[in-house]
Amino acid sequence: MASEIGQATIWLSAFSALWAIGMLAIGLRNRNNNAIISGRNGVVATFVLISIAVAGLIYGFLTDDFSMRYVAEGSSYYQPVLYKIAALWGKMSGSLLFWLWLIALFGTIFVWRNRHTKDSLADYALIPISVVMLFFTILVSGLIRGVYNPLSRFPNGGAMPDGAGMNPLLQTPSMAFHPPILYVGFVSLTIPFAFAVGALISGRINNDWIIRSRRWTLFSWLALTVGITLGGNWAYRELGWGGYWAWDPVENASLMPWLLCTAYLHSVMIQEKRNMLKVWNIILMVLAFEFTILGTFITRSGVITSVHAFAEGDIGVYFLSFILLSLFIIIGLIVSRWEKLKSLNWLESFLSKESVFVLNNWLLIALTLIVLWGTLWPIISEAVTGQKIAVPEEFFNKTVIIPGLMLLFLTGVGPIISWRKLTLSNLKRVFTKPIILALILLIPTISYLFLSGNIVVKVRSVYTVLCVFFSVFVLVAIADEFYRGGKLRSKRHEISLLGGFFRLIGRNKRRYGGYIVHVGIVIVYIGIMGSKGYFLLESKSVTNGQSIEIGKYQLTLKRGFEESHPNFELSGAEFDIKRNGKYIKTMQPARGFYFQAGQGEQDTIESAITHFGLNDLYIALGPLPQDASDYVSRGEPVSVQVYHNPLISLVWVGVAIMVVGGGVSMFEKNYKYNVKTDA
Amino acid sequence: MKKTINTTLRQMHRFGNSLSFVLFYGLSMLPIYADDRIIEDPMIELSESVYCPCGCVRETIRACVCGTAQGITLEFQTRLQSGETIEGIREDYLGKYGTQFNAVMLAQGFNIVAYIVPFFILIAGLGIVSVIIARLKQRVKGPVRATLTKVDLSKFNYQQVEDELERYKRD
Repeated sequence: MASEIGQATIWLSAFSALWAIGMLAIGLRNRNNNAIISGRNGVVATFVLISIAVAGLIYGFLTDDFSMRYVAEGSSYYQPVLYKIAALWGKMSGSLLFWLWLIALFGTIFVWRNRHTKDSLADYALIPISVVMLFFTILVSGLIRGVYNPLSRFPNGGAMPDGAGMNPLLQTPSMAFHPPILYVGFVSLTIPFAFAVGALISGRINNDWIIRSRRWTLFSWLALTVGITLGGNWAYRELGWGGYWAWDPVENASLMPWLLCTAYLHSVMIQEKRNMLKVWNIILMVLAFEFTILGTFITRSGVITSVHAFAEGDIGVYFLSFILLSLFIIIGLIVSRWEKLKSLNWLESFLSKESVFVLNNWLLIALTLIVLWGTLWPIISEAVTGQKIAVPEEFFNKTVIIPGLMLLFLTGVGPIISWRKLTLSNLKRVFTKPIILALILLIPTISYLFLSGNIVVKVRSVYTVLCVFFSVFVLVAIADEFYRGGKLRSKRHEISLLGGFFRLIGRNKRRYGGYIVHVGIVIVYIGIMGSKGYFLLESKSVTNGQSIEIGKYQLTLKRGFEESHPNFELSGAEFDIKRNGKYIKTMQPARGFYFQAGQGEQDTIESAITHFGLNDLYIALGPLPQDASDYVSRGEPVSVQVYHNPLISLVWVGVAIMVVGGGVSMFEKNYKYNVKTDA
Repeated sequence: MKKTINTTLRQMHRFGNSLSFVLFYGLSMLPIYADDRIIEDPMIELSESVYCPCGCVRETIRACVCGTAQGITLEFQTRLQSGETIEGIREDYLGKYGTQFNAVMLAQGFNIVAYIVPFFILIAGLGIVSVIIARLKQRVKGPVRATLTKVDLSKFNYQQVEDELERYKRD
């Protein structure tokens, strides 16, 4: 019954989304308030209908209704409840339904938040939101070849007895949270995009749309940051290759909107402060949204092969058509509003905050284009040469490092350089200290590179030196900003310096939250520099009692072990870890064997990771039989990969700081916009 | 004094532009000289140069911990010990599994386009940004300013300006 109700509500939701578009268009054109309210209700109705469909699907998962095709293919009787729910977004049509539900949810929140505003901008913005909802409703309705309705049953009353089960690799807590958070990031970008399009349709091209979409944009940026990092963390823990980022096409697809969103968050400040870059901000927001759809196209069209991709049917054509059609319409709108989009102010100096932000935007766009280029290169290359190729990680590492380092430098310059024009006093006051301290700290860095012998590796050393110099420059510049501001506040209010800092942040959450994000970025850079540039890898087969050496650590195989869990068994090996000959810890890497109907046995890599300060020791096991204890005691060889990843913890710490900073920035109470009349 | 400061700032602009040129263009050239790590062990060089065909996330034979990679590693070791060259073994491997399992993309042949375009994006982008900044700046200097200010003012809601001035006087 849940299946039938769910399918019906999906069909009905298509009509309600269409209703919303029609009523809003009629209402706004004829200034008919009743029609507008009816349009808003159409959005809410779509949310209610899609919620019923989602609830029906979850009910199917929880009751193991394997006559429902999507439930049977993505879940199993043995699957823990968390992963039964997570199976909702585990495959193509369910993930599209979840995406649709999120748009409908955000659309409803949008309606609720704007229920008292009397201007038309929010209602204009509801039109693109409803169009996106309608598009996704069509995708999940089962009309498109290869994408079945997630609530449909097997034809002719068929069923799969115990379900095929979710891929064991995905049955980890981080995978239960990574996709939905990433989807939240992607989908919530629809709201600022809708504001931009709404502003273009209505002709209200002032700062209203950017002020009113600011929190949504920051929210999307935060969700994308967390989602991308959780994905990296999952890869690090589950895939056994000791890394967190492989420049896989789907990883790239999530990074590109993040880069564009970051660019927008910077350039929008120029519009707010100086009334410049109006058209640029609209383009950036439109691109950020279109890249979320492009990412979905890459994942689902099958045009690029990736481990994450679930390519089926004709869906790619629909995504591509949607992207092209929407871009065509938006370009038309921009052209028609060109006069209103012209800047009202001009740049006074090359050396100013505005110029730095423009440069920052250029670098972020360049990075996006480079990542897109690398992602699409296999298609281009195959079309020209006829040979299938894969673009290795090395290509991306080589090509993004330069703009990445330039961006790091600007991360420090941006906050301290003045608006309009850099004066001599400003230059002396804010730049001298960071530059001197950064130069001083280069001495130990270069000494370390000499002492460790790394200086022979020429280019990597140059990058390291630049990364350290820029990082110290940024940290000192930002610390100085905090110190001067905090000191001033503490004096003025006669409170402690710490109190002064908090008051400083509290008074301007957006600015200082942004600075905290910059600190997080620098820490991530240092983490990437250490873990990508200076990791060690040892691959070896060892028998009981034999050792592997990596850096100053010795790992000795001690014994094999087994462990039973409700839906899988672990079979692993225990290693004694010594540092400089002294025992410090035991580590237990293993392989997981999942037993599920229709799937047979699949073994997963359960890496063992130990943090030593900021560095990780990481062990992954090669293939191992299920009776590991007998196997090891018989003296059979165990294949082991050991990584020493320096500074890798800084990647996670840096992202946590970025999230804190983004959160602080988001809670700025600068929502002073109070709409009373229609423009 | 003001004149001195202006002169200094002008000189700094020039210096800033030259520095930017050297920094951005100079840095852009660095990857061409990127020699990365010097790999002395032929087994490591070989096993890092091809992807494992097991279906993993583009892991090289060296990084992958599956049974397939283990078997291929043994085969590579045997063939290297028998005197075969890295290139020969790689060619056989790519012939067997397909060129998409090549983990090395040298800046040769058509692939050179792949490497050139990112730097073209960077440099062309810098050129476009420089032109935009220069144009935005020129407007301030030139005689156009007066006309533009007029246009500028006409875009403001005069009533709003009046209100704000009034509020400013009151405060």
